[in-house]
Amino acid sequence: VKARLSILDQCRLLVRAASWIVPRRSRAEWRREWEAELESSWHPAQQGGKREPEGLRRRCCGAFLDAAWHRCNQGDLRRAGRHWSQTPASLLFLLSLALLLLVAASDDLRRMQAILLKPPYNDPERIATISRTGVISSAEWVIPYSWVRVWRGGEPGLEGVAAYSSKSRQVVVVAGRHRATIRSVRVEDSLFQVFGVRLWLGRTPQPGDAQTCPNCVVLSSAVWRRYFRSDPSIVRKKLTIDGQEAIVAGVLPERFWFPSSSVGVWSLADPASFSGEGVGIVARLRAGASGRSAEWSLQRDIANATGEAFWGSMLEVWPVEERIRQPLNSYFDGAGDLGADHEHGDLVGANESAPASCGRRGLPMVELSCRQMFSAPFDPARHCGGVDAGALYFSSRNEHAAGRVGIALGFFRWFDPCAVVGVC
Amino acid sequence: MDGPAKISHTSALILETISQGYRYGFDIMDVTGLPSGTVYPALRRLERDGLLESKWEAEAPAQGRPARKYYRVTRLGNEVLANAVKRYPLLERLAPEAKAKGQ
Repeated sequence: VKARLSILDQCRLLVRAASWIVPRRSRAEWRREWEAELESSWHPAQQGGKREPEGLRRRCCGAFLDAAWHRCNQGDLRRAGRHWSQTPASLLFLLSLALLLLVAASDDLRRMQAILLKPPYNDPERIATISRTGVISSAEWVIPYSWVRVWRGGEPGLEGVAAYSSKSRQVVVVAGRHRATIRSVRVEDSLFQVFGVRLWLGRTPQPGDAQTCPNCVVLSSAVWRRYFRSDPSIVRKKLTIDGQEAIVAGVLPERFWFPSSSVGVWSLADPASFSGEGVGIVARLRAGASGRSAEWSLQRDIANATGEAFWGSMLEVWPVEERIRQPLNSYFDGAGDLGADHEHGDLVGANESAPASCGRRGLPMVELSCRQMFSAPFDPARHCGGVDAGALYFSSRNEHAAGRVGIALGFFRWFDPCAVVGVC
Repeated sequence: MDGPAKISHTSALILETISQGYRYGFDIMDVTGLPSGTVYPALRRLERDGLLESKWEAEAPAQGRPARKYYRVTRLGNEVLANAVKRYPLLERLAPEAKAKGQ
């Protein structure tokens, strides 16, 4: 009798718990029905010695399904599920889920984040790179550093301008027992101020910092986490870069990348060290200034400074946000997204007119498929018959054929929807 | 053209079982072998569709057990069941024998 009561009590508890799922208005009657069935099923007159405690417990668990039926407004769950599966919303949901799984499973999560999420700095639409258009070889997209001085002297369209080395390089970083090869780029100490980025750790470098700390470096959050185990006291610590002592000035926030997602170390450089060099430029446009007007204004400044006639702008002001999200450039990170890399050819831009203008000049061109690019990157020396100079342009259909997400996810590894034009 | 509603095999079996005189939820489980998580939602659905009606026993029987809720097939339910028997020829073989009166 004791055992039976115990099972009965357990079942009562289960039914009571399930009853909370049932809407209040029908809860009392629902519970009464179940309890009456339970009482009756254990009543000696009903049993005939056949009932099993385990069977009754299982039966009581079914009360939850019954209660759920009530909760779902007495709708047919299966029918509702079937109906939902035929709606466009379900298709969208499944596609989004598949996309998320694909991204999470691939190594492109960081790139996707950079493409889809807001950059970690103020007014990203006002941050732009300045380069020269209509270039033939990779050496020509960069800007003479002397032009930076002109613009810094009082260009009304710009709030700030900073230079960075057009070529990033691999450096060996040694910190304690850890040794890693990381891509590094030399930047003016005002670059982070132009971006308006607040460092995670340390103070945002200001103009003049490179003079007081000539060997200071800023680390990406990925490098800080991976090689420094998220050390919260990393600022002012010493490390060695290519055998030279360096001091960590700070750590950048997650998702900041410039000029390439593979760069993990930014070396602060004194502006004077860029003299006579061709550099990449990043600028903060004044509020309300359009890229187009800035292009003309900047070119006019240069014409005035050099005494040349002003025929129009050969400059391109391209918002960094757009450039980061520009799919092919972001895909080929490390191959010079906003810069150049002679080992893998130069990705000068996805400019529709570029191949045509090159063709007009009678330069030999070689067309490579994207799949070819992945298996064997464009090599001017090989593809251009030993000529050691070259540039790459994407034909305009690339962007439309594959789409931003497809490219970012690396679909080119399997599909081959585009062509790359190499100019030798 | 609206004919009698079509019901699933399980619903038809439950309807048939009730028409044979097994009127309580747990009794239906006993004779059909279906789990409670299937029988009760099916009973609710059949009642919602007007194929069954439920009532509480007027007073507690003499055995000392509490009053139970019982189910009865409606006229529409009988029509639907007749249609279901044609659709599912094995239904009558699966359904239990009619319960003796007074049981």
